[in-house]
Amino acid sequence: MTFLQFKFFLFLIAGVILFYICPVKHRWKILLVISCAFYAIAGLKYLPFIFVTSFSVYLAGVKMGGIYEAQEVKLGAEGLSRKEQKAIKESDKKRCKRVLIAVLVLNVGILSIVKFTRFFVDPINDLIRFMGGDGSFSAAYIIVPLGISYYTFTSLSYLLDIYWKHEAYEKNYFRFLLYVIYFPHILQGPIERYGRLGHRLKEELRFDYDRIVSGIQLMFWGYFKKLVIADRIDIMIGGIYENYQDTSGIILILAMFLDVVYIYADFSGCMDMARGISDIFGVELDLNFNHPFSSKSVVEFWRRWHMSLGSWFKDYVYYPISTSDLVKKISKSARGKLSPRLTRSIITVIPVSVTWVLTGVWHGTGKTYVAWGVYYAFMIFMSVTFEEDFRKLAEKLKINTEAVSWKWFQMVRTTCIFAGGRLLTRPGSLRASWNIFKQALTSLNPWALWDGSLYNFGLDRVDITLAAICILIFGFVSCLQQRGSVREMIAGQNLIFRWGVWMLLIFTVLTLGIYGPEFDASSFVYMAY
Amino acid sequence: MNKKQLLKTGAFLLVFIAIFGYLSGILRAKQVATGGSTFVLEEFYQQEKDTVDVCFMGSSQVIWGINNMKMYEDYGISSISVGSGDQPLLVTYFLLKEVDKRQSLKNVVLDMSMLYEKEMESRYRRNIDGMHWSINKLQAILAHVGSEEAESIQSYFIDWIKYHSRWKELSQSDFVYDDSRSSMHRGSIVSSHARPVDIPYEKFIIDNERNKTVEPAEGQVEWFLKIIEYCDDNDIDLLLIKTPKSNWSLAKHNGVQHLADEYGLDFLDFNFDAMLKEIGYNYGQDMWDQEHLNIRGADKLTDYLADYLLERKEYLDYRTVDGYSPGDVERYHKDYKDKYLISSIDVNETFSYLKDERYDLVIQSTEDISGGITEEMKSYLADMGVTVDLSEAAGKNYILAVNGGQCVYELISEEPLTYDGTFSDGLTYSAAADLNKKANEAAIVINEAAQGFAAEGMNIAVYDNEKGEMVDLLTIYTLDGALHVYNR
Repeated sequence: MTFLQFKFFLFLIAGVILFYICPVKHRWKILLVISCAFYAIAGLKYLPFIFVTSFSVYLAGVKMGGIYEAQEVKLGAEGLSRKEQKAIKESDKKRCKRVLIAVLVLNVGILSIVKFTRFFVDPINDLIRFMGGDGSFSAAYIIVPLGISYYTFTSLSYLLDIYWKHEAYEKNYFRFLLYVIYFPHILQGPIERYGRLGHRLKEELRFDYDRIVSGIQLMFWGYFKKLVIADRIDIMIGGIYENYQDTSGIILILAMFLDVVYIYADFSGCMDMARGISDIFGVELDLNFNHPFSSKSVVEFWRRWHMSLGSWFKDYVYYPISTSDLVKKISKSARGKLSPRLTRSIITVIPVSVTWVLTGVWHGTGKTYVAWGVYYAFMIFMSVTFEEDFRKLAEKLKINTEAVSWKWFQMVRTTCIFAGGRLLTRPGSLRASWNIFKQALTSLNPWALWDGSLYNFGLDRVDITLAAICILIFGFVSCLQQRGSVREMIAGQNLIFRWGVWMLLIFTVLTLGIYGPEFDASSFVYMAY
Repeated sequence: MNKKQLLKTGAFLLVFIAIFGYLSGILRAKQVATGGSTFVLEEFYQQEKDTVDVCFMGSSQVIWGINNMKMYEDYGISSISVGSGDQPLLVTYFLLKEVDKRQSLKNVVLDMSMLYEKEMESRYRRNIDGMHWSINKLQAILAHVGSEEAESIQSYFIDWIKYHSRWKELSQSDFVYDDSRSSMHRGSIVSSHARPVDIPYEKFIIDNERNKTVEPAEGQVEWFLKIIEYCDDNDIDLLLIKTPKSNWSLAKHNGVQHLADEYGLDFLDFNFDAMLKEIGYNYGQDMWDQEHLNIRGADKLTDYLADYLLERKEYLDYRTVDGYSPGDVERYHKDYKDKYLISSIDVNETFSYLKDERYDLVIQSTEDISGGITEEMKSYLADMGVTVDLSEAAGKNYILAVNGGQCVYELISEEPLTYDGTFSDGLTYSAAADLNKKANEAAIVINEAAQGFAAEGMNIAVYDNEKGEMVDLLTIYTLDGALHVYNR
């Protein structure tokens, strides 16, 4: 079930009613039931997976938490020497590490099998035939549970936070399960930390009319971005890329930038829906986007785009690697033999490369996503390594880096880099990506924008005009959002204006949205991860 | 939630529902082409309660093949047609219940085409969506949505889901219901055209399928039996018919006859030669395509069925009911005349229609027809104030303009002629007459649009000065010494 299906609205209405007629102290249980029901409706066969993950992580948390609690008691005993204290800590850490590794291997293993097996179908069948079997294994047998990447990362962040003693463990399995399976964020995130969402889910979930209304407004804004903008321009982008061989370069370049708008509208639209739905239940979800296209560098971009994933990889992959013994060893052995700058570069490239290749693989399996990861690793490495050189060059060229025009240039440059990354994955193969890139540069023909060619890719003049207007509205609202909450700005206006704006938004979504029997049921881009 | 919040929410929802309801009606697809089911259903809903005794039901055969106004005017029987193109029998069943709920029917006449036609989702939506909300509509939806091809149940209950994307195609007919140009009267269409039906012999039934069996389409028999059951339970006489249709066959006939025999029903199949002769069917004039009768054919079938019904039952003669109105009689007579004019292949009959005050005419010649002019034609022309004797006009060019049934200009000459004229409503035109020009070179230009002719002879453009639109473009031509009519 997705947020776009009719049955979801019936489900949501029933869920909200049930939630608010329940006494406050038991509402979290209703939320758990609703979330389990949401997941079950998506597919009963998925339930064992999420229960295995949540229960194994919960047990691991209890075990590690128990070890640390006992440690506190032991360390509190009088008369212990520092050596003895250190020995206790090391012993307990080893025990916790064993638990951690076991549960990590289990859950990362499940995730890997589910995501990667289809790429090894042929070797697996060869092995089966070698062993005397009929070699008819198919990836169709592999169940891919809904939101597995999201709930696995959510669970593992909790596990690591317990291991590192950043958080106290949760004693109540059902509270923990709610944190994992909480339905607004299970489809596409954000990947919440236990320290935030887990604690919010423990607060009293009281009825707040204004918050509920605001949540509904945010939901519809999300539907506008997804159904009116993203799904509409996706038709055109698909049409252009399918026929790229016969398409002029200028239109291919347009498609690349439309693809940027598409992915932002689609993903941020879903985030707005998730946050809006969650607001209705009184639970605030973290922001996952913070005006990414106002970023002046790639590094800044990934602090503003899919923030929960970026911070997850930063906290659980990048920092552990960059502060690991291995990297320290490399740094130590390089010191004295290589220049400080080169040493810094080497110890940067390792965590950056690993982090970004893994980030690429998280997004999708296949060469295109690995290439995507390498692409960003390279961009970020270059950005960090040569930051000082670029600054000096700008000074030498007397570029005013405080000027607005320079900042615009930086934003456009960052957007172009992002568009380049999308080009690696969207067409479906690296060969197609390269061919499109070549075609874009060698067959420019700017007149194609005016000779009617634009209407050959699935959208007519009316749809293209509509898409353009809606994108401008999206941009305008995004700019307004930088000054404060747009919903609050509207709430401060008179009744007729307020109702006019919201009615217009609702009917725009209902009328102009791409949904219904004529179209394939829309699915979200990031739901496949 | 406090009282103020509750009121605010309620008010917002009310406004939303009002706008949603209004826009739903606009976005919903309307079948307003000629014969469209929107007109059929709305005509049914507009009938006064308990004023209809006979209902013709089924597919488009009963829309084009029956003349319900003639049923009333000539026989006093109040009848309507409720059907649509390829209407599945499931839909017919629930529409029957809907009609009977409001009308207490005495007779249902069911055309049996659909027993053998495959179901398609669009055929369900066309009529179910147009039904007013009622228990019957609800039951029709629930009965249909279980099938494989059916669209989602929610798209039936909230048809906005299906039709919202029509926002790009909206036209005036989506905002304003206007049946003034529908040619529909009591659910049946007054249609025209005469097309020679291209079949090998003088009957529709194909004898070489004598031994073949044709299975009814899946799902149709079940609903046919429910129709029988409903009529039985509600004391309604059910008559089965099959209007002339070129893809009918002996095998199909036998299938229906078998069911009719089993359930004790009469079945009139007008695809047999004997039946076609009995109704006075005229090959080449009474159909408008291979599957549908035009108004001429419909009149003949209606006469036969009216006699058939009256022989078996007594009906209230609605012509004697004070205050009863069968519909827009004036519009019907105008449509009727227009369509008989358009489908006429007889010169005398054609001219008898042309002298109507409603018609403005522009007549020009591209070929000499003087040898075939009849006395009757001359008489009609004289009634219009025409002074030129066309039988003496051999080898001469001729232009005649008639406004409101009276001649306003005529000129005859051996030289090519041109004339710039105005219709009664002020619309301008120009005409040229030149015996040396081929038909496709001669044209009447009306309001800067050329109205071409397809044959050589005496070309007549007929303009309705009340509606402000062209009615007909016809050519009187000579063949084997006699005059013929060719209607474009």
